[in-house]
Amino acid sequence: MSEEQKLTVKVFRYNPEVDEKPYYATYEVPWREGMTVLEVLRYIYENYEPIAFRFHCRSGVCGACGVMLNGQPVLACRTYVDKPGEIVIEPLKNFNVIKDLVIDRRPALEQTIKLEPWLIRSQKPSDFEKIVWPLEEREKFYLLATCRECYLCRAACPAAEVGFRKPELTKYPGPKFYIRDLATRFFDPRDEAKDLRVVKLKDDIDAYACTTCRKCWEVCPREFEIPEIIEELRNFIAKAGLGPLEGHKVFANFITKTGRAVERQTTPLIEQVPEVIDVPNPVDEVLFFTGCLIDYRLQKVGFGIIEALKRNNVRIIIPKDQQCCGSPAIRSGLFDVGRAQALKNTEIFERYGVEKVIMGCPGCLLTWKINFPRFVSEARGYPPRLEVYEITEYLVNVLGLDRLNKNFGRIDMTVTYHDSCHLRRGCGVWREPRELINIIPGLKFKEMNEYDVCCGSGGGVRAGRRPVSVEIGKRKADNIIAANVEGVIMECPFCYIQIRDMLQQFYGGKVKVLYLIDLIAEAYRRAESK
Amino acid sequence: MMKIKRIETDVLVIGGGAAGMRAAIAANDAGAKVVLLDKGLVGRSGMSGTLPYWNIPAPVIPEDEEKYFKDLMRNSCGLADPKLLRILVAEGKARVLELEEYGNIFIRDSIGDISPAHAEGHSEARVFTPAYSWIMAMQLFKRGITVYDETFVTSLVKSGNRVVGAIAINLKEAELLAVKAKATILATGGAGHVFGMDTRLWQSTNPVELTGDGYALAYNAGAELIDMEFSQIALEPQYSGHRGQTFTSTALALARALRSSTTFQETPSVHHILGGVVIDENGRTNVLGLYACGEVAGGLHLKATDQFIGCLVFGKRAGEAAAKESSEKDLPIEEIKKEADRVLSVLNNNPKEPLPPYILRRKLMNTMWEKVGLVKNEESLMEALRVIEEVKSLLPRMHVRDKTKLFNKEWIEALETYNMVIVAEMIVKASLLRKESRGVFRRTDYLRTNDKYFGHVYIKKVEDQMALEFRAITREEIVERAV
Repeated sequence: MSEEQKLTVKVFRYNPEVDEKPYYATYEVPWREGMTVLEVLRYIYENYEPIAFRFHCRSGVCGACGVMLNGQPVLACRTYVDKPGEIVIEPLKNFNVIKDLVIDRRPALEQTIKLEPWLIRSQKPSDFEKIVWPLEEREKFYLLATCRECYLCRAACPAAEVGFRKPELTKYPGPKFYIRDLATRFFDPRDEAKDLRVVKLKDDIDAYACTTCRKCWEVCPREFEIPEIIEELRNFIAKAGLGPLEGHKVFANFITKTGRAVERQTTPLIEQVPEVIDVPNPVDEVLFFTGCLIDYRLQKVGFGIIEALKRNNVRIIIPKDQQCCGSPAIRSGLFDVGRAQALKNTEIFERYGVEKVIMGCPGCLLTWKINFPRFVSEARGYPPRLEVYEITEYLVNVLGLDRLNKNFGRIDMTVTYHDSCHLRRGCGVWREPRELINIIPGLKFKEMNEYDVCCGSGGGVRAGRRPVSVEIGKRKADNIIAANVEGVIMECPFCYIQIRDMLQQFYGGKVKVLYLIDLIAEAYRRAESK
Repeated sequence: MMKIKRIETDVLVIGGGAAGMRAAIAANDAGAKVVLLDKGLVGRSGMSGTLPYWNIPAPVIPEDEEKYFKDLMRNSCGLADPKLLRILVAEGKARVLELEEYGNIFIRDSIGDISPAHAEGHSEARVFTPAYSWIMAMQLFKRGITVYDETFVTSLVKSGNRVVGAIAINLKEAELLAVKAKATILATGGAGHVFGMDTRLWQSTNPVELTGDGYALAYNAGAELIDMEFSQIALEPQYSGHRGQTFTSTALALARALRSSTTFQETPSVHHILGGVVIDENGRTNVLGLYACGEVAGGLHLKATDQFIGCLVFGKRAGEAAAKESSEKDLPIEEIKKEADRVLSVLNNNPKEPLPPYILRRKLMNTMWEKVGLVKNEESLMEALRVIEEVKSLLPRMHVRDKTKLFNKEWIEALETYNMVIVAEMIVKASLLRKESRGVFRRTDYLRTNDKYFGHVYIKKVEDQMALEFRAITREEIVERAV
């Protein structure tokens, strides 16, 4: 290639010895294939100015070189700059800056020391002792102990952002402290201080502030399943009788009492529709798991799902005795309640001999996908013989975008899309909703900033840690307003309720909150009236 | 003038890897007040801190001690000091057991019994795995040991013939530290980065901080070094394609889908320096008040994996012996002032023809890799020596662009370059002296082992000159080494 390809790099600069406040400097760097962020930084260091950044091992082990690349936390030495163009490099979020890209790790270290992550036991064996421990715990111990201490998880975490900005709201320091400093000792069979650690877990690092948004899992260089480990730790708190919070218990009590997570207010969807909805010449047959929020609160969404399936000639069966999936209980660590719900629902849905189950709630979907197989396998030796799909995933991937009934009416509106955490990172569905938005005539789609950052409703945070939830939700609302759109689309009842409330509270409901499947049903209906 | 913070302690440990941490713990447990200075982040610096986990060999049963001794002696081609090796094999198991007490759990078999692994060069299964650097670092904090990390020691301070402390730059606080100590333990690790590359894990597996500072500090303080020509080459897996492009979240999701495509190639690189500062059974050097342990210490002639147990055994011994030292000698003000002036003059130097430190470093590193690393002979070594002399003459032209003191890595790189030149010179001169191939030391112009060179090259600073001396191993000593 004759012409050199350029990379324009915007770097956060701040030297408190000479600068009054931080600023951004821009540098031009020749780009080449396979260039790492560290090489970009080093190029600037050598050829322009000696910017300050940490790096030691250059192999992703020491965890010192974490930076924000275009808003995403990454390890500089392991991340390739995949194309020429513009990039922004900033210090890791949720830390104070010492100089340029160097963050102050000392408060985090002090926090770690407070958690006493060393082995505590009364006896001292004189020789190698026999240790028999379950495979599952052993694997977790060995995996979690390899935490690189890179703090990318903390930089990505929306709850830690609140803890950093407003420490009076939560002491939550970020996922690293759970998974390395506390979880390793919980899975260590020799440790005798687990009771003490449960208290630390609950009080010192506020175990209930995590929204289980899985952003930490996305950025973790070790690919730890952090949210699942956090749920297990919450289970330890529950077992010790110290949790969950009052707000969580309400849901759990409802589930054990009524089989549903929320109180009945109006006529539920399930009582308004027949058990079987037949269509002429069906192309497919599905079971519909309604989910408590859609069933009891957002019935309109349920009707939207039925409408969309009917329009595509899909026969629908809605088991009348279905119950809550148990998600609210599992997220807050009450595994026993969750297990019972998993077994009940599996039995009910397997009755029909139909394999496909569709649902409109990512919370339910994630529980069906991740927790059900585990609970059911533990009880009977094999997982549920059911395939679960989110409705948009079903329409795009199973029915297929080509064969989809595209007889839509026009909806003129500029919109943006908010990714539900459980749908995007939990179930891998983020492309499908965007494809559906793009085929509805009249919709003008715009991505907003931080479209995949949590809205603050998940993981029992809205119920148990309301102020934290509102702070995270406000950040979402700010981004929606900044996108300058008429409507914000999402595909999750929790996000729907949370974002509707947040926009109402902070911006007087300036932007319309839309449920994607409801919008699709509306487009179908408009085609008819035309 | 820069703010100088004065600290007093019983034992000063320089380096926060396996050896330094173990020494600090031992000295603390023996009742001494300990200060640990680490150039990187504590628990995550040096070779031990930048490995995913540790594999530590040690004899489990008493019968294995003799076998392990023989293995090590054979691996060192008879160059290991038998006195030190005897201690190593005798105390190895206890040190490994301690690691479990700290919070590690070594692999057990299906019925729960300890199950050490096999490794190359070992006649028995005796490698315990995994142990984690951070678990040991937590023991420092559990004991409340004072730790200054990201603190670079520029020089040891002597009063008469005794080392009485050190001068260091605390990067995060932008201050100079003057540490007064009754005993000082060097645990600064090796010098792989003298052969290394700044942005990639090529040429050397060592992290960037392993520039051989300890060898230079000891040398400048008058300590004797041994076997500096021996460096181990390792085939290090170089991973690529892992957690790739992260431009947008969309690309990230794509990268996740491709996650299984992680590939790696193995490339040879300098892994470990076998020589170092001469120590006795308690880690004492020939300089009063100065101890050494871990990779910076020589005599044991240990390769990389075996060095772990060397770090732990001699770290503990050095820590305990250092805790017993008593000295009423104060830090000489003149020395401190002189060193502070030198350090600041490197920062404030404004030469007519400025050279950024990275250019000199790179020249030195690449030369060391090309001429001394993998393949060496008389010609390449002489060429390397010429480059070293050239770099030495260019040192006064080094120009640190940023004149502020807070986290000024370029300043540190400039100071490191002074150390790297000394270490490179030691390695090259010792290599020139040894006209043979032995163990990990290979010369293309002398392919065979020559009995004439069954011995050690000793290096010492004599009247500001680097003095090298070859001492053959005596007939009596050979008997002890027979395996």
